[in-house]
Amino acid sequence: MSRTAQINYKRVTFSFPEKVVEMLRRKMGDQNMSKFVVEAVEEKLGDDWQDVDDFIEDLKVFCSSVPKKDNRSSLEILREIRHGGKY
Amino acid sequence: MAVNIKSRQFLHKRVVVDASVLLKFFLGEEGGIVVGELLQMNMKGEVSLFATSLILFEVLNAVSRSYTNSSDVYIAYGKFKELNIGFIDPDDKYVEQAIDDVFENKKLSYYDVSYHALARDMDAVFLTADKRYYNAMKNRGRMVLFA
Repeated sequence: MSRTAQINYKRVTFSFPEKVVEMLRRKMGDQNMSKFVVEAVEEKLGDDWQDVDDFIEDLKVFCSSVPKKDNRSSLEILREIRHGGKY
Repeated sequence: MAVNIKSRQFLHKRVVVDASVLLKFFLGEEGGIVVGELLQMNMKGEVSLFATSLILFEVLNAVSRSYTNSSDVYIAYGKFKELNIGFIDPDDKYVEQAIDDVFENKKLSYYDVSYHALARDMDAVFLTADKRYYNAMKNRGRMVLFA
């Protein structure tokens, strides 16, 4: 297993294989490599989080517009399922 | 009915939700917006949502009674699976707790108490929209009424 090395940025510590850290150090320099890593992570999270926002928004539109048989509240339906409406 | 609960109050917490909460979202009710925010936070790792595996069938039961077309139930099922809620299968600790609860209060069913027993077992917050259940059991564990 390859040895790991850490890159610290503010209060966050990233662990990478030692070779990766050495490569980043050569390419970016000591001063810039932690900023580079943080920006890359933020960019990836930003993309993923946009996907989540879109997914939930689409689902919200679907749930509010789907044709329904009756106007009972979710709790009334659930009580009927759980207790036969006797609770 | 206006909803007073705020999704951010659950930030970084473990929360067990029951079907009454998720159904507000799946049936497009007013409080569904807050539930949507919670689901969003869960998918981003800002909160950890859990439920007993029973929740799938409770939600399917309710949407099947409410939605007009089975094709829409299929869509809801597909989306439901992507919500990254942690489904916990029956385990002795929380099932035995549920048995005790049902014997103490004969008006309750295992559908009601299983989520709450799971939350107590996990030391998590239990979030329910069922006011009657909340009033009957609010002194046990950390329960929040979705209202």
